[in-house]
Amino acid sequence: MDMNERDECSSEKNENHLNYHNAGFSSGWQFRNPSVGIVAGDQRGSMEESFNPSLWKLCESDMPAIAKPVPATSRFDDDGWTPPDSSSRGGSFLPGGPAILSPTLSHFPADSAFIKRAARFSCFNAASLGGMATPFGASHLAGAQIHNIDINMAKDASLHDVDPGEAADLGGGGHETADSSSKDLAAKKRRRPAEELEVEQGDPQMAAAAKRESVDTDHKAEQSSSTAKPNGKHAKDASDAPKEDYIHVRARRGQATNSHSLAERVRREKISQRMKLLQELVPGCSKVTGKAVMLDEIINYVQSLQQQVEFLSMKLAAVNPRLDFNIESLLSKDFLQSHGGTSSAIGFSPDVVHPQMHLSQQGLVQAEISGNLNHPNAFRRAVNSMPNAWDEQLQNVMQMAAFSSNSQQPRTQ
Amino acid sequence: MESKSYTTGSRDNANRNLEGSKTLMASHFLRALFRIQQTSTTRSSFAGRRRRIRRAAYASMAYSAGTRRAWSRALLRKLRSRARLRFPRRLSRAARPQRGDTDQAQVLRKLVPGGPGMDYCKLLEETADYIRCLTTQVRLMQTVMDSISS
Repeated sequence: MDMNERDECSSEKNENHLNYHNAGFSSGWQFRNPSVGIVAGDQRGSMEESFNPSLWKLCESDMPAIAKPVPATSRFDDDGWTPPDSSSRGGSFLPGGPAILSPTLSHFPADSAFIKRAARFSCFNAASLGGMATPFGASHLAGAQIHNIDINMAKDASLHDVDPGEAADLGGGGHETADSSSKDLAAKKRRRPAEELEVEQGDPQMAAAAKRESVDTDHKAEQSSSTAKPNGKHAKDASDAPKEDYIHVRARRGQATNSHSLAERVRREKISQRMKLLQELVPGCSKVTGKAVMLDEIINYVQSLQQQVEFLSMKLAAVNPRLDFNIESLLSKDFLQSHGGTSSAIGFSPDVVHPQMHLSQQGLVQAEISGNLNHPNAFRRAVNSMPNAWDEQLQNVMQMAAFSSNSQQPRTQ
Repeated sequence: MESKSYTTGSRDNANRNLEGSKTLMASHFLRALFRIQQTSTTRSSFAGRRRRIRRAAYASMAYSAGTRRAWSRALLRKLRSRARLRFPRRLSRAARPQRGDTDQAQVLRKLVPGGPGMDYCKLLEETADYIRCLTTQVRLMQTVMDSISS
């Protein structure tokens, strides 16, 4: 997945570059965190996400630099991001990163030439980034299919870089081989990696990076990323998720550039992101498509969970007075250590959910119990691991449930 | 009710957050159970005990989520005001009548605490976190149940 790859490759860069961008990015990072952090599943991931936009913005800020002055992204002003004046020191230090990007980029007059060089640099930089970017660079370039030129050049240059490191890296571990190869090339690659940094990540998002500019620069950036057009749609779709939900949204090709529709599109993407999260949470929803069905499933699941809480609290109330809580407090330590609980507990929960979803609301408690008993797997598992005391308690609970189901029910609907 | 210091995992991803909050939830819930057991006599009704346990379950859920989440804040508010848990709300607090809402969205709003006060996008987000917390709480209760009865 794009995000995971980028995660790896930029984790190193983060430490170097984060101080540059913390001020500017903190808001964006927090803003994106709920969805991105969850999806990426890593704090590095969220940092990496905050890092990428900087690259995009720098990247595209230089592309329209051809046509107009750079600071299209005013967010960077307070970061001490210097305009292309300080081009002299751009090439000297590699880890300077974004601060260097713009100066060195200002050297590139032509878009196509820039793209070509960037693609060439990508492989070099991939190695110099400690090999973590190598799989990213290779697979990235391959997957994005950015330009014919890029692919050819990248393949030629990257073959020797990628091969030794790629297998290990793709296997998931060996930074060392990539590091050694990267160090060999590192000397030559001082300048390039910086540029490659953003290009590598900007490539799939160059079309999407264009998105982040205002509509005015639409045409200019369109020209620069014209070669990326065939992949524009794919790249944009891929990068939609990591794209920040800023007000700066660019209209896709062939779509209305009305500010309202843009905002709506951002909104819809947010909503679809959240729906994906929910789809992962609710069991058995991976095949379900469509908002309405999904919502139904979500509602049913929430209802069933709440019913389970009711049911379990009833059971606990029944069991409670019998027990010595000193024992329980001792047990609680074991419990806290192994929160997974017994296998029966784990197996019980999801199995219980489904029968409950088919139950009517009337006589709920009775139905729950009978539903549990009717579900052979859960019951067998539970019975096997539990002594007979559980059976007795279950019978008691059934009686009490039969008694209490008529008297109350806080229905949640 | 006593409250532990909340986990500072607001920036962590959901999994890491869940690990810390699980312990918080478990300790809170067990302590509440202990209190209920101590204060319950032979005269106290089964239904009353059940209600108290249910309230303790939702309270430990809300405490584990802290004030980071809108649903947990709404839940804590409900608990503290001693209103009947999750019932017809007398004050429609911060509830803008959401127009353009599907029926399903309305149902979801009723289910998730704090629902009426959010827009659809936020509702989905809160629902996800609420589901996570609910599943953890259910597992917790089942484990307690199992360990008690074994």
